[in-house]
Amino acid sequence: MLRRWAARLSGLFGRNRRERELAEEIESHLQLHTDDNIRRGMTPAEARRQAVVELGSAEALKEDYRDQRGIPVADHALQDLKYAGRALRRDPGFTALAVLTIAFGVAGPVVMFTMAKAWILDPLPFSNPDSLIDLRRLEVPSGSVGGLNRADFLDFKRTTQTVRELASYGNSEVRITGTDRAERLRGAAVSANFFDLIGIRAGRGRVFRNGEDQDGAPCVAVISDALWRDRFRADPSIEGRTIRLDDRDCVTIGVMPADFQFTLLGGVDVWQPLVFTPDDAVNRSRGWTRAVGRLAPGRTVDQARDELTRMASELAATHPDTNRNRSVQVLRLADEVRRHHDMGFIVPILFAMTACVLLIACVNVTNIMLARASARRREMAVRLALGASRTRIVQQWLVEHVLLFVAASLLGAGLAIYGADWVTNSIPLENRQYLRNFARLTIGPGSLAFALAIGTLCGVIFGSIPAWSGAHVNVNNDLRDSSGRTTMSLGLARLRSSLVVAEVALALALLISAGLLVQTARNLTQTDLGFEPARLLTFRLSLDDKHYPTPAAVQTFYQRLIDDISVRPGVAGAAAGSLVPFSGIEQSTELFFDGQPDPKPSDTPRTAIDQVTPTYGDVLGLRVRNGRFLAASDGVDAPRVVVVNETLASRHFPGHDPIGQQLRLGRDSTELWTIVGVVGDVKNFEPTDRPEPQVYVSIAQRSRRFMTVTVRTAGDADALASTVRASVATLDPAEPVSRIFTMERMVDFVTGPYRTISTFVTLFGVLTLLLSAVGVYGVVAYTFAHRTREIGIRMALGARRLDVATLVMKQLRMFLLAALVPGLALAWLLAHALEAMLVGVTATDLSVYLAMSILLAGVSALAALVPARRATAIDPMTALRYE
Amino acid sequence: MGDKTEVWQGTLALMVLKTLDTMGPLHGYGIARRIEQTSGDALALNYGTLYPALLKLEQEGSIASEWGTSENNRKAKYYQLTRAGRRELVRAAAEWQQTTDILARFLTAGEEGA
Repeated sequence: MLRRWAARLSGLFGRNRRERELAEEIESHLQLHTDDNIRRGMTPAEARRQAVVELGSAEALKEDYRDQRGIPVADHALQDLKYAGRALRRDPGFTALAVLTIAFGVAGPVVMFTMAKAWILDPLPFSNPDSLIDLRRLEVPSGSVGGLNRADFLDFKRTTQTVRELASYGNSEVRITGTDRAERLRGAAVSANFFDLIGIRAGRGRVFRNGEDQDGAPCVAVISDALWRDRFRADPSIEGRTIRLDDRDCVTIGVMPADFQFTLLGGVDVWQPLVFTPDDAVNRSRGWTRAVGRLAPGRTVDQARDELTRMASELAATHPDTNRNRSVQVLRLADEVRRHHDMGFIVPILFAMTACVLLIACVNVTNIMLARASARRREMAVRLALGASRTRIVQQWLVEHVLLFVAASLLGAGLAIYGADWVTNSIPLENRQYLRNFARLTIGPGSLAFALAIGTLCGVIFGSIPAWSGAHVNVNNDLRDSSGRTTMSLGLARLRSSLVVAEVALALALLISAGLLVQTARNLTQTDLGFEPARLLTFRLSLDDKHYPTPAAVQTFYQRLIDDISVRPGVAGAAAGSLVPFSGIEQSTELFFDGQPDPKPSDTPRTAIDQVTPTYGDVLGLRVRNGRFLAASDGVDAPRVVVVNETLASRHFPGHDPIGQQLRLGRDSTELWTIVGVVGDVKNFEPTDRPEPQVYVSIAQRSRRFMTVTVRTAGDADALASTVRASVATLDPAEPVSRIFTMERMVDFVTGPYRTISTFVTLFGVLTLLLSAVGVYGVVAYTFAHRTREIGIRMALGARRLDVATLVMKQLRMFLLAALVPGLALAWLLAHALEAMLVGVTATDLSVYLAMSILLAGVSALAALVPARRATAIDPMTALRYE
Repeated sequence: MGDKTEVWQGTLALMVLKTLDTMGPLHGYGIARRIEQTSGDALALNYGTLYPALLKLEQEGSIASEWGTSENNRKAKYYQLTRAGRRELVRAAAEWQQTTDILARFLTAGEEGA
């Protein structure tokens, strides 16, 4: 048995030699038989004829023989594959068009799959990532989420039974000085157990040890692979080397692996121990930290959530002043990471959209294949007449189409490489650090397998439609059709029409979703931010307390810097602020009103606070609604004055003139600030921000070391980067300038994803519009090709061109009407899936639905008119003679 | 070929083996003729079915083939029994013998009972 199969398997190969041998054997048989017959007295011709008759059909024999020799299905498949390759080569135009169409269709889902896999589906690259949790403070009435209070954190860590270990972490900024230029680095402060908890070791050297995060421990640091290479030129003796961080000598103990990334922290250059002060252990109104935990063996996230929530409510009971409204949010770390991806929830939606594009591409190709199937009816009829079985013909068609789709999906995977690069590049550099693997996407074996899988699946599904129709030829009719032309059966015509209807419906749904997203992107870029973002250059400075020990020194530095920059060529004005919009800095304080009793901490209103230099209002272009902005005269010794925004004015002084009213800023402060002006609201973080109260005070009256300097330029803002660096260097060469960005770029960091998505969907939209136009064109052209005679007769009988055009439009109207309801329904579903993404436009925005319907109808009409024009241009006599 | 009996399914292989056993190496046409002659021309052998059967036997290793020259100088493929083929022949012949015995007894018993 085994042997026979081995022989059969080997029979699949060396096919030509065996084929020849069989032919020889048959010939030899015929000769021997003929010789015999002659001996019996037949004429040679008769002898041969008899021999042939008695042997039976040589072709059938060969077929039987072949079946015995190989494995029939596989053998046929090989044969079909060759045949398919030949058929596809014979029709290079069709093949190229079909392969390209499907390849573009496949590339989209492959890129989406790669994105989903790399950023969402792949497990976090930490040891046993499923038992890692993320722990945050949850404000009960508002539902807002933030860092844990440090004292709360220590209580949780001490008493929890469900969480084996808790580590704290947070972002910081670190100034590095020394032999090389001063630089501001992206830092992270983490508790000593952080790396062990997530199960990551240093690439070289070691990570922190227990105790290194204690108050008073010597300064140690772990640096990133990038910093080690860039700043320390991959110094092999980096371990133990002392570096100067924030004017402290710190020992470098290790270098993290190049691919290490904790996305919730973004890109990090320097890791330092997070040191809790004694005050942190008791102060529940300040001191925050983020936390990551490792579940105790056998414990679940739900159990941890129950336990920690219970502990939080116990803390609320013991410390009602501070903890009354405080609870905890406990999530699997992977879920929290996912929640932070801008692309996280859009990926499934884009996936659905690319799948639609693929479907449309497949439908289009199927339509062409159906046309080919009907053109090849005679070929099929001949093959059936010669004894081919219908199964064989279906199999052969299927093989041809699957081959086509598989080739296309390979090409699609190739195109996806460019697609993935394009996606990565369209993400602003600043945003990439928060994406897994720094937003790099690789079309790996997984993506390739996915491409092949969907390619084969589509090939089998869509290939079987024309395969089925191709095999259902009527041998008699199709062979008798002597016109040399073929007719399309009614069923086939109907099938093609319904495919086009499906295609138009899908296209409509896609166009509407794309329209909504494009409208969103447009709304975002056109949102009034409350200031003028054009031609504005910003950078950060953070003065340390050693060189600038007093508020006066800080204030003097900033004032001199502003004065220096302002007079430089190309500069229209300069100012500094602590809370510059879109700089990513968040700063707020508690707000108290004069003459009212202090509310409890949990009920105290908060306000954003921006400490600024007097020119800030002018440089940013804030709109003064009432009173005045801060002035140079509001100095250190002058009365404390504050400018509030409209939201603060209307929320806390409804119906009154706020000018002259007094505020206290911060619980421990007794200073009274008099309101001297009201300015318009500014969007601080995103164009979609809801207005929140905000105050502006002068840094002369409330000092701050950490500022963002803003420079209004006369020309291109980017060109002034070196000017501002030089200006800072003349005042303090050791002071690093960091994050020099134009305001437009900073806004772009936020709106970038929306714009990327908008570009994406516009591309889809155009593609689907084109594809459906081709589909409509194909079907209408086909119908007309078969109605040439009919049209000829109509025109001969006096029909005008217009009447013929009406005929086309009738057909088109039927398509469009049939596509409208399913298309709109699908659009409605898609639009609601992406509702959370929409800004300034609802999921049922009538104008978008209408505009896209009209656009699609218009393009379809154009596509339909081309063949119609050609049909009516025919001379009636020619048309009648045609056949 | 009116009243000639068609070769029964499954018996062709046995006939081929037996033919090669008695005749020694033989080509396809020779095997076919020999089977017809042995049956006293009572059997109509469809020549077209012979070659797939030969291939099957060859795949099973019961026979081996080799190109040679016929008595009247024609090039032909000669088949001959292998050792495994001889064993197979003994086994199949015994099996067939048993089957026909049973069938014969069965049929005789039927006649007696009637």
